[in-house]
Amino acid sequence: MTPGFPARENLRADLLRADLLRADLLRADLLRADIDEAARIVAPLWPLGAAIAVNPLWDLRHLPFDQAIAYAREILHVRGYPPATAFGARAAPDSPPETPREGGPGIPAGTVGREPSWAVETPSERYDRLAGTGLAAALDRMVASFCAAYVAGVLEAVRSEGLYAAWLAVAPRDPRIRRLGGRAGCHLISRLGDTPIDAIHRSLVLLGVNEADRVSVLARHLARQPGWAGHAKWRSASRRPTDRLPALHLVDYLAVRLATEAVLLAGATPLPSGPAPPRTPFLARPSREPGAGRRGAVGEGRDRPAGTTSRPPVGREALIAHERRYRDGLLATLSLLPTPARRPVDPDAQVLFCIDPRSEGARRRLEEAGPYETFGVAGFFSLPLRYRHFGSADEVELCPAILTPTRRVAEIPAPGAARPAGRRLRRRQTLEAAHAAYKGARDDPVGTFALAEMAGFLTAPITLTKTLAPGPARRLAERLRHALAPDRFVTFDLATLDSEGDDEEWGDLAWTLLTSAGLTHDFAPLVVFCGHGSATENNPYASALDCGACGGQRGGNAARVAAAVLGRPGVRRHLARRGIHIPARTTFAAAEHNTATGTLHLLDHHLLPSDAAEQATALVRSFAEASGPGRRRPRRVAEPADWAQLRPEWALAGNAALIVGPRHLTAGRDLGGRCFLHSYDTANDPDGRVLEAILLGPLIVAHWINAQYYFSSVDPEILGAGDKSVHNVLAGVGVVSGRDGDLAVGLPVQSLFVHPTDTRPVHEPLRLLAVVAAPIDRLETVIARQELLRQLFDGEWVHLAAGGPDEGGWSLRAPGGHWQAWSADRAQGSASPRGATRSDPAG
Amino acid sequence: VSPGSTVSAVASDACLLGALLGPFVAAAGAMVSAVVRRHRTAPLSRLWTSLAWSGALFAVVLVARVALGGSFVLLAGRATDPPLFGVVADRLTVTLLGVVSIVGALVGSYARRYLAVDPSLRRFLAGANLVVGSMGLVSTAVSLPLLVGAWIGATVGFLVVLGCRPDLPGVVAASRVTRRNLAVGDLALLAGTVLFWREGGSLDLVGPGGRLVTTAPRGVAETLFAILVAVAALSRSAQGPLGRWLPSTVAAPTPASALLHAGLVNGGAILLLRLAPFVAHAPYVLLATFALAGVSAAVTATLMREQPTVKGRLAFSTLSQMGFLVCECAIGAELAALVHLIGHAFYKVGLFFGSGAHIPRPGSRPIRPAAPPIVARAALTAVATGSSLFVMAATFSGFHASPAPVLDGFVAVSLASGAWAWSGRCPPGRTPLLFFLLALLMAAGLDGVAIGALGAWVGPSLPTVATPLLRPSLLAGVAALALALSLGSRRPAVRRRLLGLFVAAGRGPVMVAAPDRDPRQLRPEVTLPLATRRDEDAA
Repeated sequence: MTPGFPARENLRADLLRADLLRADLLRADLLRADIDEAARIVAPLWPLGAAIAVNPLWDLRHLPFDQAIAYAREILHVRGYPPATAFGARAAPDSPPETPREGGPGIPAGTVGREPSWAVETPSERYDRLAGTGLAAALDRMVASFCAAYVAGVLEAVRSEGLYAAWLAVAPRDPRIRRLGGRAGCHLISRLGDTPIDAIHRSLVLLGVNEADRVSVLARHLARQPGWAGHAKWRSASRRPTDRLPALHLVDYLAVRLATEAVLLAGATPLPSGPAPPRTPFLARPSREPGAGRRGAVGEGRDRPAGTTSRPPVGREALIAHERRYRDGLLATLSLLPTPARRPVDPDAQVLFCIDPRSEGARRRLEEAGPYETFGVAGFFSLPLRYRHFGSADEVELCPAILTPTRRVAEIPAPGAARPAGRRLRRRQTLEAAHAAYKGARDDPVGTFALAEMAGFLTAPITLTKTLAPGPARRLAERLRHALAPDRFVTFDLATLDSEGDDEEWGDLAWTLLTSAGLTHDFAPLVVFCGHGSATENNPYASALDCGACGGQRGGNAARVAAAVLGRPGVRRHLARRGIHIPARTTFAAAEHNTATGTLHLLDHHLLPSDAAEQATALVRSFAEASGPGRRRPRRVAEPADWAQLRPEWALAGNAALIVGPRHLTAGRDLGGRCFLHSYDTANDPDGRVLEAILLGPLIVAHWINAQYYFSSVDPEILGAGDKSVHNVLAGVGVVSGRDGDLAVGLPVQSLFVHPTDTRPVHEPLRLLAVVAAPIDRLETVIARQELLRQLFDGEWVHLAAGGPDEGGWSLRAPGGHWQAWSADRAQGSASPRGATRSDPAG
Repeated sequence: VSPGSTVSAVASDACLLGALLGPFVAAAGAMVSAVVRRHRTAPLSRLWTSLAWSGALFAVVLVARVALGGSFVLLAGRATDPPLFGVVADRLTVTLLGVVSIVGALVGSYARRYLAVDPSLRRFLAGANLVVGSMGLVSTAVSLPLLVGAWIGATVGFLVVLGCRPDLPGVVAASRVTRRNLAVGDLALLAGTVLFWREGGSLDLVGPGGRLVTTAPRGVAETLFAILVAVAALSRSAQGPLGRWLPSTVAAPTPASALLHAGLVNGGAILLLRLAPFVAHAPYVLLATFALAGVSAAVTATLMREQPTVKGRLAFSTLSQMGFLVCECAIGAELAALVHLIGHAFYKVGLFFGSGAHIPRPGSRPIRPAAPPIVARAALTAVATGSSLFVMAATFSGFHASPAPVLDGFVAVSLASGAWAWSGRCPPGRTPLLFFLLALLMAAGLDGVAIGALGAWVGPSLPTVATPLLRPSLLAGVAALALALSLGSRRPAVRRRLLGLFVAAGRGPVMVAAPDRDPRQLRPEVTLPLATRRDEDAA
């Protein structure tokens, strides 16, 4: 099959050939496999209502980081490594080799790290390259507007069979397709087939795409709009879509893209014949596992054209140097002597925080404020919950996206509180109905004209107050909300819990929670589970500021359930049988850390016995004093509940490491809010199962968050969400920038940069460094058991350091399980790599 | 002349000057600081917004001054000359000035925080304040040339606001299409004024004693002038073929949209209100304007419901509301138009400010209660609508007659559709029902007070174009068309045919990113350039 575009007279023959191809059903399966292979280039994109931070190259994790970048660079056109400007004046100990600087002499901006012309291109991109047109961009806009209309339910009348069927019904009447596709294009629409698979086959044939290039061309098609492709990928794989949006599947999406492309190119003037410029094949490296993949699989090697292999990836050396600098600084801090006391004796309370880096400062402040001991665990407290708010229609998944909830929990009225609870539900329904009334009048063709003016007079005072006095307006609204629908009456009572599990199952979960926190003895009279959330206003990215371990929800409810579970006598008996003896005087309470304001709130305060309530109040008070106005709250910004506030908080900007180990390693040390802190006690974990759970859960969550920050700050224009000031909410699933276009992926510039036009991010883009205070042997056993961990550590997606003062020093893991001792003296990173596995710890 | 009255006159003049000059001074200051650019952040931005707010405050004081002491004129130069530069403060003009100033100051306050770290904040504030100052001047100018100058100033100011961040996707294309469309209107107004003057018409909007001037040349020139004024109004209010630019402007940051939708597009109505005495002599031109804007309003109201994005919806909502507003102006429902202009301005400002809050968080929706039987819903709807209308009528009668009886019909439909939607979702029990009725009655009462008070305040001094040909009841035609389109577009057979149009509507031309070459016209003999970079809007 020759590359190039068929002239119109060849159309008939091509269609005939496509029919023959279609007869081969086996080919449909192959095509589906190719689509899955191509879709590795995009990551699933969750709706913004519960945004999940994800590594945008997660499905390329079977490749080492550098190879994945090389592939993504060709398909996604990302830079992949931080530009020289990303680190600014931050000094690297060993200065990286000279890298070309953008804007430097002779190098125009935007060209560094970019290929002069792309080896992989879609047929429309190729046409544009040869003819100087803008067809590829036009295609993007058309497909995006089509997907937007579909997801928003505009195509309800024709969508029964999915996106492609809707396209078939609508495309012939789309004026843009008629204009650009011309008569030939419109004629083509009805002949592309009824199913998306047929359409992809025939379009690929019409577009002249070789079967050998199929995966790469499909991947490039998906990569042109990572947002819509990611949405489709999420929706195709979603085990339980939480909303009633029309389902947009990946196969349909590709079918529409390719069909539209075929139509547009059928309408375009054929290119002059003649030798086309040589195309370069797309992938560089030899496969790590020869013969494992199919032809064209991602990572499958083909010859790279000469001249491209020799160029070192720009920014890689700088990245490594800065990672080394940060690592050396962190390990040096962690090795500082003297370490504080192992554990405070007789603490007043023990508080379990989320591993979130924002908890790091909060824990330090709390420990300074009084005799309190803190722990770090994943914020869902090891309870994979499907949670139903009182009177709510939907269930919420309160666990990391990598887990499937196994427990169902619903809020119910407390005993004797049925009447106030019913009142609360009716009030919420009343507000909902009032909103429905507004929408009813707004969408009425005649009523809408009178509504605008009536509503204007009523909303003018609200608009004025919220704009001129956002703080008082928020407090007023909160007071009003409390008066209308108080929380107190809806309590969370485990005794009458509508749960599936009995005490033993809950007890096993509680055992996992306490062991992974390392809190198995010496219980204080009060133990507080502290989730976190962020109260912001008018913020499409609100869920990105909430607890990632709770699936993008606020963490307070997981804390409430954990406290209720551990308050249950049956659970405690079960725990005692498994070796954890909780004294009868110990009370469990729940709290929530509002990261936007830096305040701590008690939850279910009224359920606590009076002395525990007093202790809890004292704890909250001393925390408030420790972070009060006298002490500058770190990295706090102005009123977070202001509707004109685009950056309510800096959130996890700067995150760089995950420290798994006992608190005395990190206590009293300012880690700058850059570290996820997970408690871990080797003594509790003889067989490494707890460690394995930590590495497979919290580590992955931390890696996803870290990788999202990394790629959004390294390639903000492709893997970032753009400027929040122009965000336009689309059908409740996401945002687009401006009028239309691709769904935004990653993080907005306001989360990463001080000024939207800056080149140097506030977030220093570094790959995650996992520091595990555990024996190397145990770590290697765990890694050997888990393919996923091998991929991450061997592929250098995550760096690993292990050991610690208790093990005689820190060691660093190189790909392949080669360990190398780290010492502060040779912290320049120039220590000669020792090939020996598990070398003796130095020092 | 007593000293007391001199002092009061000086104070009044100072108020008027302050209200008008506040935004201009802020615009100039912000522009200077944008040029100097000593700091990356904008330390003086608080000063510029304070100036805008002081202007708004002066405007409010001015309203009180006019209410107590009657209208007055402030002229530059000797009073005997035909006044070219000067402003008039009467009930209509100070009301318009107050609305424009408050909306502008609100946008400034919001933008100062919203764009706090944006490098273009100072330019944004300069442009926004220029728009506000110019619209204030359009509202109060005593002569046509001054009005036209201010009109063009508002265009320039808005183009500055729109083009603040050319690096954002779609901004360059939006600036281009906006510039072209607004230029059509501005040139039309300019040409009309020149023509009017050449034909011997008086350029004064206000004659001796602050009275409205109605002398105009008869015949072709007058009709031509009316046509050109209508074109200017239609272009500014984004109606008909001149409305394509408005949906594209959501490419600019949110405060720019808020300013545009609440402070600039209603310029078309302000123009028609102020020039009513001139265009009143060309009823057929007004009728044509009404027809165009009415069709446009009905069509865009239908398209509004098909928009997938929040801001897209708001843009199409503004298109239809502005169409309705121009209709009201064109057929002599001036008071209704003024009410609509003010209400819509605050409505849209609030909606744009809060446009980020439309991501539903899972688990937040309460269980939907079972809908009551149809009869009960109908009864509830009838009672709610009837009682609110009664309350509105009662409050009207306390002040002034309803602006136009036909508008009561619109209000009734709006209330009824809201009550119907409510009745389908209302929780059981007496309390929610009482809450709803009470809220609705309060809303109706407040609204009645607002509209009634506005009618009592400005109604008597409004110029009107009403003739037997042009009467407010024509608005029922717009309602009928909107209803027909809405019902039609819901019929499956019709809807299927229209879906292609709905998908394409409001998305703009797809080829904007192309380097100006249409693939259909590509000739094989053309030398092929190699385009190596991805073509983006910025290209």
